[in-house]
Amino acid sequence: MNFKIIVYLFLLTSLNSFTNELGINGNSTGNNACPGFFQGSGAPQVLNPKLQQSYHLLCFKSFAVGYSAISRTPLWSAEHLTRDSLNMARGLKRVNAFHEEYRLPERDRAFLSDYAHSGFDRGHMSPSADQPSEEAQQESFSLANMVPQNPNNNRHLWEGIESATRTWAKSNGELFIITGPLFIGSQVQQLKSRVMVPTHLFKLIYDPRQNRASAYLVLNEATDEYKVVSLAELQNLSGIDLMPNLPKDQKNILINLPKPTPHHERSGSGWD
Amino acid sequence: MNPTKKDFDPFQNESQVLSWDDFQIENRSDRVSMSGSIDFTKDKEGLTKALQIQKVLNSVVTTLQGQELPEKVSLEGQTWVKNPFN
Repeated sequence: MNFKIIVYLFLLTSLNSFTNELGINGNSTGNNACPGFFQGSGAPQVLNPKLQQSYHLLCFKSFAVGYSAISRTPLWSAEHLTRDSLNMARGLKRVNAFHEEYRLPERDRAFLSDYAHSGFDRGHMSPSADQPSEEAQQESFSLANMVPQNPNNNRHLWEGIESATRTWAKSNGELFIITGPLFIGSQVQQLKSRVMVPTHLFKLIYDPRQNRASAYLVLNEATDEYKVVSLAELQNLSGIDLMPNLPKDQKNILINLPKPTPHHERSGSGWD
Repeated sequence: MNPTKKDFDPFQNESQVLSWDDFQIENRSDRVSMSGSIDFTKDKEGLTKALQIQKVLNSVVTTLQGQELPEKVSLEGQTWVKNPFN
């Protein structure tokens, strides 16, 4: 270990004792971490001190994740969708593999075996269908981008939300997206006493044309119901300032989000 | 595309995923999950896809037929804990 690394580790541990930042190059820090995925270049800021413990920032090819080793799930997964990136994603079809996130210390990782025999889907936060390259798509199958998700929810309502978001991003030109779980209530479920099961899921969408954002909010259950909430309300629920560079007054304003378009309502529509 | 470059080995791992457009097949140790939608068009591509998926389904059937099976697979219960983020 050379002197520079020791100084770096010292600074990290002294200034930011609970947070690890694991970039592709292992050296992304502070505000420059994982550039390109965040509204106004601002990475989400965790406000709830209990969420800050054992928190890791992970950069991927086309998305970034804030990961909690307490829940062994992402707390958020951020992407910048553009018409071009989605057109590249179209038609990608191949073999992928769910995998553990080996950049995380073993004690902090979710294991494939944690999800086995659970009855839960491994629900992508940044979806594989958004990814513009094979490498990015493979990365999206990291368990650091997954939460235990109700299978009916994952395959119907949530898939419809993801699909509607892509359609909007294509027509709009670009959108910034942050997807994540919420853990609300005094008690939460765990898989294998290790991976926490979210009570809710959110998908926050920022439209640069309106300079505003709002989020889909759904229960992690078999349901067709969803709510649209403001960024300010989502911040209260999540304990995370998801778009720190968006002016405060903009965070209170709701915008219209497109109606989710599940498979059965899409077939024969000619979409895609 | 060649979704069977490493053959789908049903119930043997929690990792394999095959996808065709909006349709995917996931391998789990207690199930094989298919989700999404797919068109088998009346053309060469439709036949290719149909054969690929038939191959996966055949391996599911063969594997299940070759084993002593319970009436219904059992799931592990989840534990409830105090919410550490509250």
